[in-house]
Amino acid sequence: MGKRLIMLVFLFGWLQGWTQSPTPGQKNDKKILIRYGTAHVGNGEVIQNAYLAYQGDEVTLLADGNKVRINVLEYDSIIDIEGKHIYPGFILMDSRLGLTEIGAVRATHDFDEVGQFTPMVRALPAFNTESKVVSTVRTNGVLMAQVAPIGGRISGTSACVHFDGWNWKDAEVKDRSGIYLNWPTSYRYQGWWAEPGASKTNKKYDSERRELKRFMDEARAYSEITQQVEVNLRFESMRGLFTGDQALFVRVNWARDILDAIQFFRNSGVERMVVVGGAEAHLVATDLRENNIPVVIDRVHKLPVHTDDPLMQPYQIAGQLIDSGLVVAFSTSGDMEAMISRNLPFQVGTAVHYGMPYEEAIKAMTLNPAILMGIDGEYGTIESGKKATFFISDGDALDIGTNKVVSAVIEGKSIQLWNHQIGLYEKYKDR
Amino acid sequence: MNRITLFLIAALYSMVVHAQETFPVNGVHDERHVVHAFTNAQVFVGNGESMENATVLVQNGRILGISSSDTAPAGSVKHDCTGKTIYPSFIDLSCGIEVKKSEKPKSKKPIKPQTKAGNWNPAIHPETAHRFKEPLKKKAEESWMSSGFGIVNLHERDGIMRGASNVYLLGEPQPNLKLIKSEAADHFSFSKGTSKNDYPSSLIGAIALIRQTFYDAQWYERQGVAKEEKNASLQRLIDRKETTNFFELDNALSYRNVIGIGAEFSMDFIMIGTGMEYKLAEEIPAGSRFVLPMNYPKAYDVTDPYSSRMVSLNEMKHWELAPFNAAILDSFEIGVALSRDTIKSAKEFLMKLQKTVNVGFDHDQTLKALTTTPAIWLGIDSECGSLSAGKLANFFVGNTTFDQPTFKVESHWIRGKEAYKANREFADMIGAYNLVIEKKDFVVQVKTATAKGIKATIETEPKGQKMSVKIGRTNDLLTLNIFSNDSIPELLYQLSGKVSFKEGMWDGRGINGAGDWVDWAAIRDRNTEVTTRQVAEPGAKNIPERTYAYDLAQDSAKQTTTFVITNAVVWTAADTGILERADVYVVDGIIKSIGKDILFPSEVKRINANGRHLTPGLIDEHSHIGIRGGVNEWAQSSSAEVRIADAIDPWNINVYRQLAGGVTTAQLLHGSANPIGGQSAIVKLKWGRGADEMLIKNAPKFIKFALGENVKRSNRRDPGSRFPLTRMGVEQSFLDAFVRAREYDEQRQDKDFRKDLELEALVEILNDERNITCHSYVQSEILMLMNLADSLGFRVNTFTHILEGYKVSDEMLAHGVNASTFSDWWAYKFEVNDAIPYNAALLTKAGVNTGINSDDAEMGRRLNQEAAKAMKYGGLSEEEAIKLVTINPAKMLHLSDSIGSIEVGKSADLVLWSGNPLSVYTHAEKTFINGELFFDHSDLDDQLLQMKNERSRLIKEMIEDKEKNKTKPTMKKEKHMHCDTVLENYWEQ
Repeated sequence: MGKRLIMLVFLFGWLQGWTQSPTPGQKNDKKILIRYGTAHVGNGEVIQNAYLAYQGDEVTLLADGNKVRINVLEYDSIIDIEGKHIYPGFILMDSRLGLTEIGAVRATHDFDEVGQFTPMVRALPAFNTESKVVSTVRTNGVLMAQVAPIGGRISGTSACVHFDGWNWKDAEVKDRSGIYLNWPTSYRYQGWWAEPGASKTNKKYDSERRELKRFMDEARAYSEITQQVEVNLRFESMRGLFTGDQALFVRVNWARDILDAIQFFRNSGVERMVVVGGAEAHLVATDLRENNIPVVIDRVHKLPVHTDDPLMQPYQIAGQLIDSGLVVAFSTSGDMEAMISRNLPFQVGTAVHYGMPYEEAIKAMTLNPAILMGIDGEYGTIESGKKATFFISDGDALDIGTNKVVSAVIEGKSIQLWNHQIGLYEKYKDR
Repeated sequence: MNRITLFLIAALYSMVVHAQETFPVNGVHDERHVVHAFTNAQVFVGNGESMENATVLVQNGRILGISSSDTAPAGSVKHDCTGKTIYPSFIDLSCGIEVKKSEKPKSKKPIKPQTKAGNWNPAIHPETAHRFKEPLKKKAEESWMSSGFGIVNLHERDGIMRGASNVYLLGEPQPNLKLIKSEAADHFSFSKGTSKNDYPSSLIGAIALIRQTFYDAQWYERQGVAKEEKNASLQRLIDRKETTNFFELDNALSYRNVIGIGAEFSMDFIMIGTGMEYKLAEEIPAGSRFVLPMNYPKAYDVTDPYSSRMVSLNEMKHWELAPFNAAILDSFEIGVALSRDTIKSAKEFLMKLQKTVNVGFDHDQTLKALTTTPAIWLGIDSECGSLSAGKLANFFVGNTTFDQPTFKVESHWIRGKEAYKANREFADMIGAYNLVIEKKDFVVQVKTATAKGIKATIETEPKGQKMSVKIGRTNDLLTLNIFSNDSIPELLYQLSGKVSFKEGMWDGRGINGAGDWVDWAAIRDRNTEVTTRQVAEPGAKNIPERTYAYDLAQDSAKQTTTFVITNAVVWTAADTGILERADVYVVDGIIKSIGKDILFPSEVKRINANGRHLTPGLIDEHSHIGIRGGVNEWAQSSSAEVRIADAIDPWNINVYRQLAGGVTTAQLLHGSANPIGGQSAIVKLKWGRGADEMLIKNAPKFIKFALGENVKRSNRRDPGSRFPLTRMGVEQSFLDAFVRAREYDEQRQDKDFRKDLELEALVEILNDERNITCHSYVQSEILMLMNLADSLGFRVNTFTHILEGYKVSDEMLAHGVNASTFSDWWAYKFEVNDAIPYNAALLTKAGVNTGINSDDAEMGRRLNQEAAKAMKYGGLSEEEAIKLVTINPAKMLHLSDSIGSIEVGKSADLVLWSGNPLSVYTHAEKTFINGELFFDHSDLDDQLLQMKNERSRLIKEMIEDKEKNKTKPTMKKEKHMHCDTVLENYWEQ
């Protein structure tokens, strides 16, 4: 009886408050054991009869109940989730969540700063924990994101956040989780988002590349002196790239541009490079693998870039890159990127149907992004000693009909699975 | 009496006529009746006939006669044309000379005040005629004459109703003789050109404007002389009903719009094509007439395998097929004339001309398309277009026939006068010469020799000491300057002389370095080899296969519309729900029976579903794919007159992509930029078929309305001043439109009744003959329109988007309106802040007939996934969810008697899925429309292989292509239109 009661509180605890956005989770000091579920660890492994225990903000146990005997008496509460699935909180890369609220209202945009080289602007202090959009994303299992600026040549510095907290300091997982760079495009679109005109060869490609070269060379030279007399904020924020503390996330799509970017950064002093977008990455997969460059796929649900492409090319690319031995993660950047974030699991589910192994797909939303941001010591998998950030779904989280997140925990705190859309639903369903 | 005498008599007769002129003469009259004889030529007289060794006699600017003998009569000036050709001057119906450059509109106002008594819209000016103020630019005339053209039909290429053209002779200085036919034809297009008026902003708007103007002209005529308004444009259209009309196409697909306008107003248009008409040869009615451009595309620079991906197979195919345009259309009995059009250089034109002949449109057909055909079409064939006695002596002399790469127009004769003469070629000079000056011997080698310059080397004999020489030549006079080979060259000889003995000898006098006069002579060394560039004989090519990206296999097994699908999980989307392991028997595209143990003949083709799932074809109630020339005619608050059906683009790849997502029917809607948009088109996605076949015959009539931020232009940087800018104004826009419509309907019996296409559509709404699909978001505006409709006595058929529908579901149910919504879109603008993904489920549970639509080419590929979201958000059952994209939209479109569910008697629009259709782990295996298999997943590999092979063949050919300055590969990204998509002016795209 006691346990069942706890289960109810655990699942429906969020009913406590009907505010603008859900109240952040309460600190938990109990030893909690969740058992009998199917655990997708995040590193490619699955445990069918899993015992997951956590205390405070840390996972204390993840074990296969068929192999290890667990002393249940050690735990303050035990929750049985037979038939349900446990996943590490999904992590979305290159996101504008919390940096934007309403697409058409410019006042709500905080992601594109003035200037071509603005590595010093950082996303973290602009992240809005009251975002209504964010609360609609975490109810589908997306619990963390890399929020990143866009625009310019070097857009700025991204941050890794989770989706629970009173303010951005609470939400911070890692400030400076990578610098974002837009590689010059050899082909440039005309027109606007809904009505792109013909593309043209970018005649400024070489000059843009030269300008970038100069900036990168100077940033590297600057970084060789630890204590600069005259501080340049731009170059200061680039230091992490040359020490390997931060990865350089390069938004680049055309195969030739990817090759050129690889050549460019090979001797630039940048320790870690990640391709973001990579619409044609499958054509240069060998080069990417040889240079250990991971790919963040910008979104699965999009149209093929060329008329002649296989109809399902955007659905297939994740599987193709995995087959080529690349490390893959996902973003949903593009039109309506913030609100579409909640469909990340289904986009990746589509990629699974088109050839991506299921557990690799989970890994691409959990461990892989954690590695790219250098937070895999504490995040990205459900493992003893790591942060307790996971969710429980009634069924397969990657399919629309079965993704029912009944419980979600961020750093040990059980979060309210409520959002203002559910509020409106509740309000009007009985009108 | 021999033939020549006969001709002479005829000529004398005409001479008398010619002797009269209106101009006073200063001095002694100078009438010259001397006959010019062009002897020994190969003469192409026209009508496919040619005469060898013939003589053309010319007198007083006209052909006196052509005789088959090579003798010229006494007293004639003889022009020896041995080995040469004589052609009638080419006629350009759509000449690129003097094309008015379209200036970008500077200031924009919804409606500009009219400054002249013409049409309200400045793009409509049929009353303008080509103004002949001064001779055309001399250089352009020479260029045109050097490419064979002697007659051009000029109009001002600006606007939609462009006015009349005049026919001019090139190279004729006397204006009164230059103009040979004034107002020969009237010209039309879909492009508004320099008009500063916002309307029309789209192709559909341009079409509506043309139709309305013709209706206005009918009204204007009915009023007789007592009319209040005087309108020069309309008057002109009345006066010019019987003339020849040319219609310039913006896109080959627009031919059907021109034919439609022609049928509606009993007019016949000659179309000025785009070069891609071959793609439509099967569907263009035989007997149509086209002026075809010859600016065939250059090969793409495909040296880089990655960049070459920017060029689509269809663009490559166009490069290959464009030169065959005339030949292909001709084989379908479509009338063809050719035009130099905008090709700048004569040399390039001649190259394209040879290409045309080379690919199967033979020499005589090509000649006809440049001479007799255009002459007949312009009504000047009694004077031009062929060579026979009495006709104008407009012809050119060529060195050979024009299908030869070495072809050159040597001289062009207009009204019997030499209007153009090619620069003399000095090619005969090429060779070695032994030069002697002051008893010193030199060897001169002439390497190249043209009018532009002569290149030669010189060295002493026998020592071989090199010097340099500059040779200049005018007619047969020469100058030679010989310099030393020092670092600062010293002038050694300055010589003048003449060429004689048929290029065999040069001689003359000159000054040596010391300033003394010396004699010199050079004699040709005939033993030295003369090398000339050999041009390869072009081999005639067969017409290549007209295959394109993702062509469907044409085998008859796939096209059979009688078959049975066995062993399927059948989602009927009807009361019968989901049937496990059932068969569906289709006869002639109609569902005949459904069930577990149904009977069908044993010989019927069977498709074993093996337990896979079968659903009705999905229906996208709100789509903008496959529309060309803009989805929004936004310039006025009501554009009820425009029709999306005019702008179907069956070639858009998204049609096929959506078939691959199981969509079989879509309503193509006007955008949402104005309160009253345009008339919808309901299509079946019959990939590979024409626009007319895609449109559902006798489909219920629909029109797009819109509310909210798009209509208010809230999210545009500059909202401008077009009414309305608030939701208050939106209400009044509708009220005003319907009040006007009602008044209009009552005027029908009046004598002065003017048919108004906009109000016609609105009257149809009032009379329940046209249904409204209204773009809407917030509850206030939804209630407003329903209230307004109730008060005016009509019903809103569908609210589309309707993201706050859940707030007013009871009111919607009471009004009887359908809801077509997004599954989970929100947060993209302020008015969707209360949009919730539970909307579809809440509306469904309230009893409102609800569907899920895409409004997006990408989402339209996976409507099944979108429907599944209504299970996740709001808990609909699988049966309810599939109905959101099948029977429910069918009901909204009033098509549920034939599509939307798997029921006996309905069309076999079916999708066989690899698994549960509501899962992300599923794809469409086969998509049938009316029983025809339009998408088969198992074909994809073959299609891709075929495309790959075709691409690599074409890439190889392009790399081997010799033409210079190849086109850089750029990608024409396909248009991806939503209802927000507003083009300022689609022609600027």
